[in-house]
Amino acid sequence: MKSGDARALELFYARHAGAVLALCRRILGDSGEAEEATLDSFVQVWDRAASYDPRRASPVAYLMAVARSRAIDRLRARARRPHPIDWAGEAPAPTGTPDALDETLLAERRERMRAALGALAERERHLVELSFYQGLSHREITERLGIPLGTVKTRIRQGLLRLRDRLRSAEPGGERP
Amino acid sequence: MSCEERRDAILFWVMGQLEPGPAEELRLHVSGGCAACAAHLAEARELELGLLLAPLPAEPPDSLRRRLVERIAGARAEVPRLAPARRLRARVAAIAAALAVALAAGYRLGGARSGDSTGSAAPADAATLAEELAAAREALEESDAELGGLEASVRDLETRLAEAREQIRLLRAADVQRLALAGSAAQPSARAEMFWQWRDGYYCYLHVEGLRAPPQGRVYVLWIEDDAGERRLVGEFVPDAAGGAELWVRIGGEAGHARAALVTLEPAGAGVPAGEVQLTSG
Repeated sequence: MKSGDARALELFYARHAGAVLALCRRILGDSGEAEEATLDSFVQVWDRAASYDPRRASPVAYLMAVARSRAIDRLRARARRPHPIDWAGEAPAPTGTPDALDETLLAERRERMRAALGALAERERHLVELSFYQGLSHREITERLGIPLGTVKTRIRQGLLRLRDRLRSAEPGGERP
Repeated sequence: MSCEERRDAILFWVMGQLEPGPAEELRLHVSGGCAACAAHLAEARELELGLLLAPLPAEPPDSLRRRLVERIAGARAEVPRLAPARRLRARVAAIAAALAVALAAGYRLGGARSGDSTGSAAPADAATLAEELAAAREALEESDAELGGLEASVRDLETRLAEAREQIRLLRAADVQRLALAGSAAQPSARAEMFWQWRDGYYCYLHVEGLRAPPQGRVYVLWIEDDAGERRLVGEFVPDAAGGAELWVRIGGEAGHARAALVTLEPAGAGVPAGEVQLTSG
């Protein structure tokens, strides 16, 4: 893509558009706006391909971080907040992706994270998700839920540490709790 | 803090849960080449990516891919036409920003010379501003007829830049004189400073804050009072919505020493100070 090859963008899109759209839906809770955020994300990656530094992030990590930012930008730009999406109600994964090995690794990573999230206490998972997927500050979460600021901070941090430890222990040959 | 202790902090930093101060300390430490913390950073990035990828992939509609292709094709078509305009807009914005810095720096310096403890910054380099202006002109030559509006902006900035240079020169002058003006009972929130210097004429720069909007048909008028007690018209002005105003005037001929200054409220075009005094240097 750095050389302006539109076919490379199309391949990149075919491989990752599903994940980007899912993330945008998770954040925005609106399929129309999520599609716009997805489009914005790929256009931004294309526009800035020349300045992409592979030492800082892998292409997919870069794309997903851009998508999160674009979706949260849209979330903040509108007055209302999204309807939460039920994990079980999401669309199934597309089949026949161009790179089966990459997809397999990403799918394994996804499953590990979903399992780790599912194992968190509800009070921690909810705050981690509000912080990460909706970009809410500690103070905004406090105002929304009526929980003390210190409690919000502590629960998010504890949740993140538990996620990290569970992911490590779930890796092949990883640590055991 | 040991690098093992930094492991948690790095996770919180990556996930946006760390305050700016500790985050900056970590950034400096990691960028210093610590291998252990680089590994902690990679671990935190993995967790971040895991959360980004956690939602089950959706099936994008075919229309989305088509729209992406159209957006990219459209952007390619626009680039040659818009590139000069973008460069020029950026240049105009850069000049405007430099101008604002120059004026602010010059004004602060004037305050410093007159004993104002808040003054400290050096005025912006006029040569740099001139280079910016020259570059803006060069970019303008590359642009087409669509850029007429921007061309006018550059001319306006050029005029303002010339004024700014004169103001900075005045405020930096060793012999610049300063008069502080306080609001009268009619304008208790107003205050102003007048800087003046005699060179090949009488150069005067007035900076006002906190003035109320004048009544319909009226303007504020600045007068100076010389050693003989004679009041001389300097100029008229109307404050902006925030109550601020600047007046920059060069008066030809011999005006003598300005021992005092005052601002009155007058009908536009007044030749003698007959209205109520709004600000005075006392």
